[in-house]
Amino acid sequence: MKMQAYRIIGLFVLVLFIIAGCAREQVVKKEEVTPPPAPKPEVAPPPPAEKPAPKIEAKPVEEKVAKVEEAKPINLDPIYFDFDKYNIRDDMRKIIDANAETLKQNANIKIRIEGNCDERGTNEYNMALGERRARSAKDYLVTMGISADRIEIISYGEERPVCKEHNEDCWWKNRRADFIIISK
Amino acid sequence: MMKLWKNLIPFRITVILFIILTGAAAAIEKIYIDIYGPFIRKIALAVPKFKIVDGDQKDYETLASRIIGILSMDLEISGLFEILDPASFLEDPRRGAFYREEIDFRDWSVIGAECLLKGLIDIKSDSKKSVNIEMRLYDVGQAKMLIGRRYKVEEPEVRRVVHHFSNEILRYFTGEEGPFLTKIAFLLSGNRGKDIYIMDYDGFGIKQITTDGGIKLSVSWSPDGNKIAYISMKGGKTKLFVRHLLLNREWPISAGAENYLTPSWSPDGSRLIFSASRDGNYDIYISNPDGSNPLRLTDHWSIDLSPNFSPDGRYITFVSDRSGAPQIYIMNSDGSNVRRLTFQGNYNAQPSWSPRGDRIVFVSLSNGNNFDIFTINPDGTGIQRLTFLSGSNESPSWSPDGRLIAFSSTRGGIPQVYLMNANGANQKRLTEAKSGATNPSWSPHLIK
Repeated sequence: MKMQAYRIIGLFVLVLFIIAGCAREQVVKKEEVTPPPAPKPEVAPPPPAEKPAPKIEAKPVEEKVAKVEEAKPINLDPIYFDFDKYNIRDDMRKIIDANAETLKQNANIKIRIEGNCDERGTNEYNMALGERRARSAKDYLVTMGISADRIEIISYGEERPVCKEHNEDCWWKNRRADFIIISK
Repeated sequence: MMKLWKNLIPFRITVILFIILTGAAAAIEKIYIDIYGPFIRKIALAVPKFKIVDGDQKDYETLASRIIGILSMDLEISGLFEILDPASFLEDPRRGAFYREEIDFRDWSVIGAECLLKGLIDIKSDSKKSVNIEMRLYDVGQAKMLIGRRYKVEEPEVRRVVHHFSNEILRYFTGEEGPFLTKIAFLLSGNRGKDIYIMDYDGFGIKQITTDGGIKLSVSWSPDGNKIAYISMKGGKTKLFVRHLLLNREWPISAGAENYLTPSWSPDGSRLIFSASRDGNYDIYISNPDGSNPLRLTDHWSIDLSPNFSPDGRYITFVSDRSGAPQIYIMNSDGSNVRRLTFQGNYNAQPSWSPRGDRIVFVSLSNGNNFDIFTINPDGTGIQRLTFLSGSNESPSWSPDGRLIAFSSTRGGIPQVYLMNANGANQKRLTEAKSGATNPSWSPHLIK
């Protein structure tokens, strides 16, 4: 346990170092992971971290409270993605890190990560993209020390939107990976 | 195979070819119009009221105007004919001119009609339920009959005989089998998922095929017309199924992968081609129709999907995001010689090779939110846009003669299936689904 905690802290410090210290390296690194940046859609939303962050945090909490009602204190928040991308955004790391921490503290629970997409893009491509989003999230958790056999993944593509309007206010909510607890 | 179809949809029509004129022979030697040219001069066609013999006018006038409606839609959507406004007609309908000798062709030439379609309904028949419908197409300039057919038919089969006659007309002018007796499979959205339905090419005769209401994607009609391959989500996996339409049975197809997407058939129907993921990466595979002998055709970290054969079976077009965003590629049918086809636009998908082999239709994300439909030559030249600023237009599927394209569009809000000519003209809505009709897949020719 302790060893792992140190490792996480170490990783965290490393990530912080990279972000804070060396913007250039960050860019290079990103390009390795993600495909060459396709020109962003005009509506392109996301975040120099500040604006969307409060939105993102507020919404899922409401939902979870409504859905789960009482009882469960275990809470895993969804993470959000850019259009046609499946890399874990910098502003999503603290959410998925928190999820990793929760999973460590509850070593008996298993989860299913559900990848989702907004309505733009073809249904079949989005089915593949949703799988990649779920897999990115799984890979991240595994890197953080969560055992792979505790995590199953599924893609719903664009077939299960939580928001059905045709604008970015809705789309960002649908470009999402949910972390669903399937057994305790 | 064709016989099976006849059993499925009883085709109780006695086609009495009581006149065999020069029409059929002429069609072979004389192709009137090159329908694939960029500019088509349309033939001006007059379709006056049908003549009704020995019957209660009122009852049969409704039937006659229904028939005229079907004929007009068929011939208009073919892109070959301009249907003239009946208000311009000079001929007195009370004269009841039907046979060549009775028609004064000057009545029709002065209003600009080049062809005249005359119909007659004769209810004098041995069975009370059936009527005789006779239709003749005249060349106004030459005052001559081009095609004549008499059908003895019961009420529910009227649409089919009229489509049959429309096919005859198309065959006369183009020398090719028309699309008017083909069908379109599509997905109808329900509360939680989608089911497969089949309808006639003109949107009538809708029939439900699957009933489980789960998530479905990518419907593809087999070249023999008897089977449909599709993707259905079961137990969190996207699985490949082949459904036999006549036996009303379906089989899951396993080629050893976790998830499947976008099946389609080789032109001879002997192979299935699809995208499959092992360990989260989608590549293109080809197998026997039962999933045996799967062969991997692409091996790339990118998402590769939507494979589709050229009609000669030599090439495969598909989608890959290997350049960073989805684009259309072509490879040889053994997976060799992959080359990129589309360079315009950031998101191109759903390629489908035309039955003539000369064009590939695809969709392109045009303004960030919506797809539009384009065609392009297989060498990457001659790109043409078919839809403009009218919602999102997706899933283009060729009619078996290559003359029409079915697609889905959100131009009216909820997605519906539409038709258009291969050059984008005559866009027309077919479905009126409450929560959406998508993913049309056109059947091959079903009945000769």
